[in-house]
This record gives sequence, structure tokens and C-alpha cells, in this order.
Amino acid sequence: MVTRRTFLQGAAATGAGATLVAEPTLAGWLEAGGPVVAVVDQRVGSGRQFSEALRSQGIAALADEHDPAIVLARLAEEFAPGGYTVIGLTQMATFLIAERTGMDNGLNLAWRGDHRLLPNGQLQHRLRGRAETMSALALDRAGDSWAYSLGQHLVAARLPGGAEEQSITTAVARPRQQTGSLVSWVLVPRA
Amino acid sequence: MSTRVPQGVSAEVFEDAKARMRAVVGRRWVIDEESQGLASYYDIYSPASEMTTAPSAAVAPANVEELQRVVVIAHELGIPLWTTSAGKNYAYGGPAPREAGMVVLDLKRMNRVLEVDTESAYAVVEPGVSYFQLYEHLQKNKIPLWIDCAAPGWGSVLGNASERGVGYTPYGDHWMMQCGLEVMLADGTLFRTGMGAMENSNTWNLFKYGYGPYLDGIFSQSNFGIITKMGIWLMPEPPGHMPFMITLPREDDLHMATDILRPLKINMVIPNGVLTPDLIWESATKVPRSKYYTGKGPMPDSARKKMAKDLDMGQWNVIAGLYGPQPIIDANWGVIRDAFAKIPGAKFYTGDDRPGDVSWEYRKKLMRGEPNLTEFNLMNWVGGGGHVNFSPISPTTGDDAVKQYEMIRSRAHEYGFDYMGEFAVGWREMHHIFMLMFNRTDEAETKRAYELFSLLIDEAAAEGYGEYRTNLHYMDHIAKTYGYNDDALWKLHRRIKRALDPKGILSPGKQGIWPLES
Ligand SMILES: Cc1cc2nc3c(=O)[nH]c(=O)nc-3n(C[C@H](O)[C@H](O)[C@H](O)COP(=O)(O)OP(=O)(O)OC[C@H]3O[C@@H](n4cnc5c(N)ncnc54)[C@H](O)[C@@H]3O)c2cc1C
Repeated sequence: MVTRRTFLQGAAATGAGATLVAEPTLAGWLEAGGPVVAVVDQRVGSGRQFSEALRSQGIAALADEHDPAIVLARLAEEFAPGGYTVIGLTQMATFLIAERTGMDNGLNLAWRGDHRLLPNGQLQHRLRGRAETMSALALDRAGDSWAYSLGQHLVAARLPGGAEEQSITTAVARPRQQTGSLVSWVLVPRA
Repeated sequence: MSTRVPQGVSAEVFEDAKARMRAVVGRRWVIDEESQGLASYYDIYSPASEMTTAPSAAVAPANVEELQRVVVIAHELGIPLWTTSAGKNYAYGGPAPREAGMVVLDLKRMNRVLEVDTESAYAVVEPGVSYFQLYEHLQKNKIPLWIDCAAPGWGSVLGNASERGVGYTPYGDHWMMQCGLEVMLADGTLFRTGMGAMENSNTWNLFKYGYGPYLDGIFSQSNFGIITKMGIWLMPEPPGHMPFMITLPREDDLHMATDILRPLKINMVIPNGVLTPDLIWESATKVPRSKYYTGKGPMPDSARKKMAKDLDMGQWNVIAGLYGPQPIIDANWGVIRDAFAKIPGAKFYTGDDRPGDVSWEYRKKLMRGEPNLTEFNLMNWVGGGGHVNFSPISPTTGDDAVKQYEMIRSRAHEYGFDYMGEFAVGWREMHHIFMLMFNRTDEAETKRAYELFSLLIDEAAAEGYGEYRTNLHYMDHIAKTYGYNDDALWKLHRRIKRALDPKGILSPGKQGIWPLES
């Protein structure tokens, strides 16, 4: 079993780009009793899919609203600073604010995926992570349900670590229910 | 041992400095490459690599005494300190220093609201107090005073004012509403300005000028000292308030609208900072660009027209508020309506009109001093995270507004970007804010954004327009445009710098003021 301590050490090593001590996963963090919360833009179809995938794994999602400050204030109220992990699929603004606030409160960014709509109408996934994590995500084959697949796999995925990080870009047909670009992200506590 | 060190400082001296600073503030509050969290001081939004301004460390004292000891160590060892308060200076560089390797002096732990005087309507704050925090303090204590905040509520009351930032109530000129500073110099000397120089002053935060030379201004947008406390006037909750928006259907309505606004502002019929955002700015907090256009280059007219129609927005949108007893509001609203009714197709909205309109909601909040972060949704327009503000000052005339708009828009389009801008009308002039949004994950686009910004500086200067504030990467460039009489003003700044901070340890390069240049 992954203890809170090993998770934190692993996550910390990830943030510093050092050798991984452990293989932190959100599932492991959940198992260790650490709270995981999700922030998801449920105004778009992909966001709703992502929420559904998380919910099936016992993670509740806060709805990202027009004022990103609202969801952040709720996070701050519910969890002691640094004591939680946050997973998100949001538009850029909420990601930027969550990432900066997280850093100020003892969290590090352990995952970022950019899911951009391209001028040619395709959706491009630009991911930074381990090769095996990214091939498990299989976003190039997920088509319209890419966000569901991402939600399912990200919880079990080993978070990226230092030297083994890679960037993968795949383009797929534009999902029917998505108008804007989205960012997937995971913030984990520093040791 | 850290690999990044301040320029001109040896690794040994730097390690010594950090060890001594740790002894003052505690291990946790000296953050370097080996500890976690230094990345939170990177500028990850500007059109240049964050490594060009990545600090070597950050140090965060908890109070004036710790700060003084840190400054004395830095002074002795020649360590450059880049001061930030909340450090949320996004669009202008965030918390990052002017040059890679400098040490961020992070004052966010000094975050006490020291005093709120309900009768005389002012507060005294430390640097780390955010708009959210001051607002909550007033709410919790049921104090009937309003704050005036910049659009991002996580900013610092003091940091923003020191940058001469702006807000949206009648107290929107933040530096004007500042009264009484406490400042630390590079050698650790601490003093108070204005009436605060008296031992037992009871008017430090009531009367700005004191006795003798008035110095406060030289500590704004400057690197002459570190502001450690600031008095800020707060607006008494008015007996009435009416926010309004006037949408204008054509791009060339900007001319007439600006000429109408000038006398309304100068005569104080409109008491707050009037904004005239364009269609894209006012829509971008509601919808991503890709909802209307996924092609390359600037959004075409056909898509703009559809978006304006769907969202019921104007090509320009005049946004302001009226404050005071209802009969006065009614009388002033009559004057404003009559004036704008001359623009064919102008539509008028007040208060609860436009239910569900996200941008109108946050604008209304800002005009009554309620902090929020909704304007950050502008980042969703392109979705790539990159943004930088080009902010020239303009006379409040239709001719100038149109000239600046056309100049910036045509260059933006040429470089493949949308024009997203607004004019903020102050007492006699306008701050024209062009928010250049770009996809920072696209290297070529980021480079184009950088080049466009540089070109705009030169072209604006050639027409007599200068910027009121800028991003880290353009501080030297813009300083050079203020070159009257053989750079006389910047030469004077440098003389003051050398007199107050001969070792040049405080925020070197801030606004183009480098310590050792002549
Ligand atoms: C979407 C968006 C909207 C924005 N809207 C506005 C707006 O409405 N109005 C506005 O003014 N700005 C606006 N900005 C710009 C900026 O984000 C704000 O001005 C913000 O308040 C600045 O950050 P801060 O208050 O945390 O200041 P800090 O980052 O703490 O400080 C800013 C600078 O001031 C100097 N400084 C800070 N503290 C001290 C000190 N104690 N002593 C000496 N010098 C010091 C330093 O040079 C520092 O770099 C906007 C930006 C974005 C991205």
C-alpha cells in the first residue's frame, strides 16, 4: 500500500525533476486516505464526461464557474493548505489560477495536458508525461469520448517524473460537444 | 549548491547569503533551486522564455524586523533583491525579477491589515494584503467602506498601488488614493513619508503632503526603496449606486463616444474610471474564440458580427457607474443618456438588465469594489496562456482614440493576432490597454508576439504616445522613449538611485533604472 509519506516523497521528487522515490498515482493517494478533489468545467460535454469518469472512481468534482475565484475559495475552505491533491479539466484561466495558487499553498504541478482546437477543426492533445502513461491514455483512438478516457486513466497513471518526461502531440477530429480548448492538470502536495 | 546565482556574485558568497537569511526568516522561507517551489516565481505568461527571468532564490520575511535584517545581509554581500508584494503582477511579468538570477524579495507573509479608520475612511496595510483579504476584513467587521480593486482580486493593495494600477470605483486611481508610506532603503534605514515623519503623528493617513519635499511618488514604479506600509483611502458605501453600460454598434463610434466622455469625466458627471472595451474583450470572458472562428489570423468581420449579435454586444461598450443620492444619480443619468443618444443605435443598460451576462456581472462587482477573478477568463479566448499588456496613454479625444486603435489593430492583424483592447478614461487622459493574447505553447507565435510588442512601442513613441507601465522584458526599451533633453529624466533617476542605493541591490533594472549606468 502506498502510504501518505511515500506518495508525498514521490510527488516531491516529480516536482523537483529528481529521481522518483515512489510512483505516485492518484489512486495511490486515494488509497492512502489523502483527499482528492476535482475541478471540472462542466459547461462543456468533454468536461461532463471527465466528471463522470472521476465519479465512477469515487472522486467528486467541483464545477468550474465563470469566476475561478469561487471554486478556489471552496478548495481553500474544504482542505488544509497542501494536504490535498487536485485534478482538473478546465479552461485555461482556471488552470492558470489553480496552478499559481497551488504553488503558493505547497502544491506542485505533476501533470499538464493541453487539448487545443486547431484551425483545421481537429483537436490536438499535447501531453507531457511518461510514454507508457500516454499510450495507456490512448487519446488518439478515443475520439469523441477522449475526456472520459483521460479521466479514467489519469487516476491510475503514474505521474510524470524528471528525465523520463516526453511530449506527445496527437490530433483527432473535433469532438461534437466542445467549443473551446481545455487543459487537464494534476496538482500534488510537496513533501 | 544552486547552479543559478545572481550576476556578479560567487557561488560561495551566495550560499553564505542564503544561510544567513535562513537564520533570520527560517529554512522554509528561503526558497532556492534545491528546495521546492522556486518555480512559483517564474513568469510563465510573457512572450519570452521563463528562464530569461528565473530567480536564483526567493526570501520571504514575516515582518519589518526580519526584512531589515535580510536587506542588511543583501547590502553587505551585494545580493540583488527584486521586491514583490502579492507577486501577482501578471500581464507585466508576475513575480519574476527583471533578470535571471536575482533573488525575489517576497513580502506576501507581511499581510496584516494594521488599521481601518471607519470615521475617516482609510486603512493601513502591509504589502501582502490582497484585495480579497481587505474586502473580507471589511465584510467580517461590518465596516461600511468599499475597497477599490484591480480586476484580479488576488493582487496586493500596496503592490498594485505602487505600480500606479487602476480600479473601477470613483477611487480607481490607486496611487492618488494612497496616503502615507513607510519605506525601507537599501541600507535598512526605515522612514515614514508626509505627516508620518512626526513621532506622534495623528494625520499620517489623512494628509498626503506633510512638510518639505513630497517624496511618495519616487517610490512608485521604482527601485529606490521597499514600501513596508501604506495608508489607502476607502470609499464610504454610497447611499445609491447605478452601474450602466452603453453598447455602440459600429467600430467608428469610438470617435464620438470618446469626445462625449471627455467633458462628462472632466466635469465629474461620471465619477469613476469609465471603460470602453471592444467587442472581443467584452466577449472573451464569456466565449472562446473557437466558438465563432477556428481559422488562422485575426477573427474576420463576419464572425465578429455574428458574435456581437448572439451576445448582444457592441463593437465598443461604454461601462461606468453613478454613485450618491438617487436624485443626483437620476439627474446625471439623464445628462449621460442625452449625450449618448446622439450615437445612432446606442443601447442603454443599467443594474439588473442583462441577466446571465457574465462580463456585465463582474464589471458591476468591480464598480462596487467586490474583488473577483472573472476577468482572467480572457485567457480562454486563445487558450494558450500567453498574455502581455501594451498600455499607452492617450489624450481623451476621439481623434487620438481612433488613431491608437487603428495603429495597434492593424499591426496586431498583420502579425496574426486579434485586437483585444479597452480604453480606461481617467481624469484627463485614457489608459489604452491592448491585451495581446497568444498561444505560449507555440514558439513561433510567442516570438511574433514579442516582436509585435517591440514594434508597437516604437510606433506609439513616434506619435508621442508613451506607456504607463510595462512588462519586465520591455522596461529598458520604454525607458528610452522617455528621452527628452538627452535622457535627462532617466539620468536623474540613476543619480537618485546611486545616492540611495549605491550598491544597486534593490530591484536593479526596474523601469530601466540600472544602478551603475551613468
Ligand atoms: C486579466 C488581467 C486583468 C488585469 N486587470 C488589471 C486592472 O484592472 N488594474 C490594474 O492595475 N492591473 C491589472 N492587471 C495587471 C496586474 O495583474 C495587477 O496590477 C496586479 O494587481 C499586480 O500584482 P500585485 O498587486 O500582486 O503586485 P506585485 O506583483 O506584488 O507588485 C508589482 C510590482 O510592484 C513593485 N512592488 C511591489 N511591492 C513593492 C513594495 N513593497 N515596495 C516597492 N515596490 C514594490 C515591484 O516592482 C513589483 O514587481 C491585470 C492583469 C491581468 C492578467
